[in-house]
Amino acid sequence: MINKNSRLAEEFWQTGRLPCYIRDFHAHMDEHPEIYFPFSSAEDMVADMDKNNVRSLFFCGHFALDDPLYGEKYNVEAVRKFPDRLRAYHIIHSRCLDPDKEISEVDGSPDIYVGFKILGDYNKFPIDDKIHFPYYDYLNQTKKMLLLHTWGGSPYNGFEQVYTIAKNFPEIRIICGHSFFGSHREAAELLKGFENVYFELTAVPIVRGMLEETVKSAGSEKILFGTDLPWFSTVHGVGMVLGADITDDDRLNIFHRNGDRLVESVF
Amino acid sequence: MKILDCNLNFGATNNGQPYKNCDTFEELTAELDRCGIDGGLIRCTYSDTVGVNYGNNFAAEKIRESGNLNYYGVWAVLPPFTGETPGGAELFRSMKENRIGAVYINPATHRYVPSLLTLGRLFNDLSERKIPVILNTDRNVSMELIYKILAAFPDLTAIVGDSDCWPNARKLYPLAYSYKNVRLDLSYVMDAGGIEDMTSRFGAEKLLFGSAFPNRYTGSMLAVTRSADISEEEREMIFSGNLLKMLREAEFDD
Repeated sequence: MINKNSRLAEEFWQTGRLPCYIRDFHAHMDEHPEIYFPFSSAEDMVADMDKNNVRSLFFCGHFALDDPLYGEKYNVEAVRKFPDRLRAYHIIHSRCLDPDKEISEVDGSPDIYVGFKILGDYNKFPIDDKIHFPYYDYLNQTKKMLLLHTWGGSPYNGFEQVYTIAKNFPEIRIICGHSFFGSHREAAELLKGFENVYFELTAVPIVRGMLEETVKSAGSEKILFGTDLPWFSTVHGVGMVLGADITDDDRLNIFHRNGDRLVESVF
Repeated sequence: MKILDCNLNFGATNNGQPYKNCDTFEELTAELDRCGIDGGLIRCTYSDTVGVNYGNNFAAEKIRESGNLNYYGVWAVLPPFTGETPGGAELFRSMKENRIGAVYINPATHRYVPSLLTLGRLFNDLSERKIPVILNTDRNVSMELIYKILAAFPDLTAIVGDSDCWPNARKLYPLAYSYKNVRLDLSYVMDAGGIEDMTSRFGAEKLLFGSAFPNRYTGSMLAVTRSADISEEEREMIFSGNLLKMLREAEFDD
C-alpha cells in the first residue's frame, strides 16, 4: 500500500498509476557511454510519461550535455516531435561559450526552450563566474528557467554559487537540481528567503528523510518533481513522494501545483 | 499479494549516517505495517557496529519475540579459524532454531581477507545446503569480489545487490545470465524500465523485491514493482514467491 496514511498512495496502489498529473523538471534523453538504459529515445520517454501521468517533461539530452558542437540539435528534434509534451533546456558549456548565438537560439525558439541548464561540477567551472552573466541577464529579463546541477560542498555549484546568482538575478526561475545533495539542510536555510529558488528531487530518493527535511525547512511550495529520466524511473520518485512522511497537500504541490505556476505560459 | 523485503535492517548508530536511521526493531515493524510490507530478511546492524554475535543474537531475539512467521533473520558469518561464531553443522542448526534465513559477509568491516582459504569451507557448505548468501556492495563486498566468489562457487544460492546509485545493468546482468542460483536484490535498481527489461531477458524468477530500508524509502521500490509492466504472476514472484522458494529449498538439517 506504500503509505496507509495517504489517499494518493492508496489510489496509486489500486491502479498502479498516480491519480494526479506530474510535471517533471529534470530529465535527459538518448544513450550515455557509462550506462545501459532499457529505454532512452524521445518516443520511449513520452510513452513512459503517458504511463505515469506525466503531463510535461523538461530535459536536456545527453548529446547536448556532452557534445558542445553538435549536440543541441537533438534537443530541438525531440521537442519538435512532441511539442505538446516536451521542452528543452539549452546547455551552457562554460568552456565553450557563445552567448550571442546561444541566447539568440533560446530567444528565437520559445516553442523549444524554457531556459538554460548549467552543470558546474561537470564543467569544473564555478557557475557564478561572470562569464555566464550574459546568459543570466537574459534569463532575468525574460523570467525564464535556469536548471542547475547542485551538490553539497561543491566549489562549482554549491549553495554559495547559487546564492550569488539568486541575489543578483532575482527574476530567474532557479531550479536546484538534486537539491544540494549532501548539504540540503544548510542550503534550504540559506535560500529560503529567495522567491525565485526551487529545489528539485533528483537523487533525493537515495537518502531516506531528505525529502521530509527539505519540506520542513524550505516548504513544499518550493519543491519541484524531477527524475533524471531515463537514469531513474519516474515511478521510483513517485513512490518516494507517496511514502514520505508529508501530507497529500505537500505531495500535490510537488507533483504539479508548483510546476503549474512556473510553466503556465509555456504550453 | 504477500510482500517480503529481502533488504531490511535496524540498529542504532552514532556513525552519522546521512539517512534517517531505524534505531529499533519496533520502528522497523511499524514502518512495515505503515507501507504494507509483510516481512522479509531482517539484519541487525549491530553485527557490523557492535559485535558479530551481539548483533546476530539481537536479531534472533527480536524475531523470536515478534512471533511473526514472515520475519526471517540475517546473520553475519566469519571465517572459522578464530572460532568466534558457530561453524559447520552447529551454525546451520542454530540458524534453523532461530528462523535465520540467510547469511552475509562484510570482510572489510570484520577485518579478514576474503579468499578460498578463509571462506572456502563455509561457502562449500552454504552452496551444498542452498542457504542464501547475501553479497552486497553496501556491505563492502565489491563487484569484483562477487564475481570471484561466484566463479569459485557457481552453484551458490546468492542474493546480489549493488548499492551504486547509477544504473548497474552492465555489472549485474552477466551474473543473472550465468549463475542459476543467483537472484538480484532490486533495492537499488532505480533505472527506468529496469524490472521490465530484466524480466524479459532472464525471467522474474531471478528478481527479489527489496527496499534497503532504512537507508532508502520503502515507497520507491514498492511503487516501481507495483507499476512494472509485467504479469501478475511475475509480480507475485518478485514480491515474495522467489524469496519463499529460496527459503524452502535451504537445507539446515544434517
